Parts: sequence; structure tokens; C-alpha cells
Amino acid sequence: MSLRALIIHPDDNVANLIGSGRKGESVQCTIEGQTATTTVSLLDDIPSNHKFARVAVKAGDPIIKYGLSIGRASRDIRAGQYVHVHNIESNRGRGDLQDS
Amino acid sequence: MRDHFFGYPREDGQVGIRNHVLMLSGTLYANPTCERVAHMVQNTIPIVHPLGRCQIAPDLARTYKTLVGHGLNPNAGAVIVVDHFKEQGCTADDIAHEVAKSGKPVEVVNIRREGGAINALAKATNLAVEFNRRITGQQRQRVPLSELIYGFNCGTSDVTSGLAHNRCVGWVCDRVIEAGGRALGAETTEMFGGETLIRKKAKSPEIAEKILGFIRAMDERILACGVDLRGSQPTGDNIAGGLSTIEEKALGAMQKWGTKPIVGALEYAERIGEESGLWIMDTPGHGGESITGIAAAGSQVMSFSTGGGHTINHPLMITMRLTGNRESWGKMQETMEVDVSDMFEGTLLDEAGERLFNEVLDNCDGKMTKAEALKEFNAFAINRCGPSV
Repeated sequence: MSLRALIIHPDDNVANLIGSGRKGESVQCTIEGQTATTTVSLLDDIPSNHKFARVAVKAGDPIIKYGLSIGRASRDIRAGQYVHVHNIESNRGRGDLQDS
Repeated sequence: MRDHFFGYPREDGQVGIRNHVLMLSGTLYANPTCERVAHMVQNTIPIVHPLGRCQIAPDLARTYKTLVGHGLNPNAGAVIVVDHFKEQGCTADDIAHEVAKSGKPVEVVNIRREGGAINALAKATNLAVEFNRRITGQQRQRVPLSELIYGFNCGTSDVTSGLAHNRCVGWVCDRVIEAGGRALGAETTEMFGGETLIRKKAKSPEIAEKILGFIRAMDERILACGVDLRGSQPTGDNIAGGLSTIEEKALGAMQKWGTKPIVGALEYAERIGEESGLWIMDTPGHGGESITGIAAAGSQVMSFSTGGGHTINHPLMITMRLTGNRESWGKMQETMEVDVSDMFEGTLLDEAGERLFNEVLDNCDGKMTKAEALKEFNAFAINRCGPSV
């Protein structure tokens, strides 16, 4: 069975993987309430329920989840890459870094 | 979809979903009397706490407002206020005077006036029996869903919270508001990072500004204690769980708010206004203090959504718990009512949300929650802003 992901809002450029995934596995991505499915190949290992990019995001562009910005990309992110504190940053303070 | 529930209409226009005699302790020294009466007499609920003495004026006012709010909560059919001495600004007589305006039976038992703890206990026990005889003949009546004040809260959040159970709570908020009812959320510390959504959801800039003021004031109070909450958010646990930014954490928590506009912002333990819609109260994230503020506002029922599982339960406002984390459901279902973990297996929000909605309305109609059946009365806690004196 292939992996699945939760996408809450059509504008979201990240998805939460259901369970964990390994680099190279494919994920069926369906926006909740819609029928169309796209397939994304994971470019990184993803810990359980963490996020990956479902489309490419350019450095500085907003990361959208729930249809709203949860921060911005700190470097270019390709579809299928793991998305977390290493490649996105808050527009506010963040716990493991000094506030700028 | 149900558009009504069966409750106890009160003289002041509120509708209860339980019909308890409330033993309301005015001060910590009256707690044992309240607890003993509740042990002896059926259908009698104790409200006990460590406050009511030697508090600075703003804190004493907050204690007073919270206690009055509980006396006025429509789940109490009759109220006995027990006091030990007399604390200016928070006397049992003043509390009873305010609660009596609702038209429900209210009496005061003052331990000193009665000639000691044993005499006071005898008097309070007799009153509790008499009040139970007076109110338990009242019948539940069918009332529209617009009479519901649906409280909500969350705790021990994890990555499943924003994706599953918090969204179910938001779904129920939307249905209650569409029926003309009110929904009441809180937890100012959960809003740090969600300012954009608050501005978007508030019905007016004034309401948004009031809530943003709650956030700023909380921030400053915490900073004054030498702790920078913003700098420590999200916490290490959150990051390990997959939450990357404070915005992601806040927006996950605020999935509970549903999609309707915010129509009002309340101070801690302030009575809710009449307007149908989403209301937000200034409370800390502390579950017990937060839900106590919501009960004081007049909420009859509350959903507590949790990632890690919970036993939290208010003694008077019916508290039901849900989770989207299957492991937590497995471990903690003795005090949890609804499992929505199948949302991770393809169940849509509409279906999981309706499951929660139906359980909430069953609880309104009289179905006991698990923690209620267990008398798990652990979450009456009054928020305070200053030191004891």
C-alpha cells in the first residue's frame, strides 16, 4: 500500500505524511474533500506525521498550511523534500534559534 | 442534524443540562464542609479551591467573579455558599446575593455564624437534602440548539491536534453558531503566532485589538517573571513532534475556532454576551484555569481535545474529551469519549465532526461522560494575577 498524506487546504504547499516514509517512496496526495490525486516521490526520509513539500517552494516564499502562512522557506525546497526547522523559518521567534 | 437538546430552562433565561445542587466554597477553610455534604447527599457537587483569603484586590475580584459565575451557571439548580469568616470583597453573602438574582434557590452557611464546623455541616446537609427535593421534580424540556454555549479547550497537544481533533471541535463550533448558539474558546498562550488569523476572524478591528491586547499583556507578565515564552516556542517536544514554527503551532490550536467570525472578547471569568457567534476569553493555557473561566461565563458543556489523552473534567460544566491520536485513545479511553483517529485513514472532517457533535448533544441530553460517572472532579482552578498577601 502506498503512503498517504493529509492536505487540509487547497492552497497548502506542504502536506503531513500519515505515518513515516523513506526516501524514494511515493505518496498519494489528496486534498481533503476532493477526489483528484497527485503522486509525490519522497526525496528524504520523513518522520511520522511530519511535513514534506508537495510542490516546489522558492527560498523566501511562504510555507502554507491550513491555507495560511506558517513561515517562509529559508532555502529552495523541491517537491518531496522534508520540510522542518532546517529549511523553513518563522516570521516570528523560533525556539532553537536566537530571536533576530 | 439535531437542532435541539433537552435541558432545564432557568428563570433567568439560561438553560442547564444538569440539575445539581452546588456546594460553593467561598474560601479554602470552607472546603471540607462542601466536600462532606457532597459525599453524603446525592446529586450534590462541590466547588472547592485554595483561594478567597489574603489575595490582592484584583485577584480577590477575580475569585469573586469566578465563584458568582459558577453559582449562576445553569447546570446548578440550587446553590449553597459556604464560608468560614468574612473576607471583604468576596463574602458568601455577596456571592449569594448575586446568584439569587437568577431566581434559583440560594442559601449561605457561615461556619462561624453557625457555631463551628459540625453545626455548619449539619445545616448545610439539611439544606442540600431540601434543595434536592425542591429541584429534582423539574423535567427536562426540548429547547433549540441556539440555547447552547459550547465551550472548548485543548491540552497535551501533538502533531495530530491541528490535523484531526481540533478541526472536529471547529466543525462543531460552526454547527452550533449556524443554529444561533454561541461557542467560547480561550487559551491566550496558544494564540502567540496566530495574530494574523485573529485579525482576519474578528468581526471588528476593536475585537481583534482587544484579543491582541490579551496576548501582549500575557507576554509582558511572563517576561516580568524572567521567562521569554516566544523565544521558547515551539518547544523542543513540539519540534520533535513535527511542529516547525510558532505560527504552525498556533494555527493548529486555532483549528478549534472553526470558520465563523469572532463576535466578542471576554476578560477572565466574564459572563458571555447574548450575540450568537464565536467568543474568545483571556485565560492561560493551564487547562483547569482556562475551563473554569469558561464555566464561569455560563457554558454548559465543553469539548476538550487532546493529543496525549487526558482526565481533565470540570465538576459542573460537562466536559467531554476527544483525541485523534490512536495510541492515546488506547491508553486513556477510560476518561475519553470520542476517538477521531480514523481521520488519518481517510475519514473526512464532516463525518468525524458529526460524531463529536452527536456525542456533545447526547451529553447535553443527560448522557454521562466517563469522567462524570467517575466523579473525576479535577479541574476547578481559579486564575490569579498576583501574589498572596
